[in-house]
Amino acid sequence: MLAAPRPGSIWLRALLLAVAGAALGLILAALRPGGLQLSRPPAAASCEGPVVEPTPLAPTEAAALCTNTRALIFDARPATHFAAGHIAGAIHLPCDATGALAGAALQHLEDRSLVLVYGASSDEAMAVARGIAKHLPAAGGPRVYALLGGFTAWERAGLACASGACDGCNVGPSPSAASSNPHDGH
Amino acid sequence: MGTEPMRSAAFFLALRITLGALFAYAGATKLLDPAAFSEEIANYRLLPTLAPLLANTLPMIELLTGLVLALGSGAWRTGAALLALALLAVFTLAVTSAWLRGVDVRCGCFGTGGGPVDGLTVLRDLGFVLAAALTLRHSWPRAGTGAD
Repeated sequence: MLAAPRPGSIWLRALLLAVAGAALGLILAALRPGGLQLSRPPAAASCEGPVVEPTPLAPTEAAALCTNTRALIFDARPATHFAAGHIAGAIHLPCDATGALAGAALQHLEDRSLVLVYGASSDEAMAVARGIAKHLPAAGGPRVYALLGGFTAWERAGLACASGACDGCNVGPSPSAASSNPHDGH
Repeated sequence: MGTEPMRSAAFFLALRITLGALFAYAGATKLLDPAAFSEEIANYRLLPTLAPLLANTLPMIELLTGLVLALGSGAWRTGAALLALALLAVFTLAVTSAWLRGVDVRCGCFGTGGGPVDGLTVLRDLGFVLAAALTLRHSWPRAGTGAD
């Protein structure tokens, strides 16, 4: 019969497991191509200056932006998903929206005053929308919206979709862009 | 050993292995995409600055805990059960906090494919906590008994 381990040794082993796991995790991260990154990318760390929080928008509300010439729609999903189907008139934005990518997206804003961001889910859209909002002036800048429920909610609602490969995955107007109605839904 | 103790032993064996496999699976799926996992941790809006560190360390801790819990023995196995319970308690607190604050966030419990946090996620996590507590209680040494 083995001697019963003392509770102290159990706590010690739990601690050792946690430390060993953490150390292995850090070593593995250091061996990855990008190396060990212990700070957040600039777009996600939105704690500098006043940033207007993006407004969540249900698909039926967001549909009004499709025909609004003052609105710009960004698709934050991977290029393959964008090619398979996207909101008509949307511009593809690579999903890992770093500060640089969000900045590039802003070049397309011009005189647009409304920005709708959507992704595969609500929180993906919110994360990217925050990254974009961070680069915009808190007062007087375009209003940023994030689509609730992701693209699947949009499809489920039977709203206008389009398909076609993104142009080299660069930020640029999709061929199916069709904004003609100057109606402002907001 | 009578039928009843054998059934009980089989139940706890199955519970421990299932919990261990679950931890190992959760850790492995998160290892695949640490950047996405980091974003999901940050989305909880609890400790956003620690998100990259947690995203790099938690998956391997979970994987190691799961493997030792399922395959280990003696004090190491009990230690893994203790760590599993502690981790699950923290995860459940985080999920409950997000749910109560109405934060629209994916669980991130099993990589990036998890659904949004809701009451069912909290209930599921409470079930995991109960399973871990039972496993730990069963593994914890009693006076006058062996380790296994």
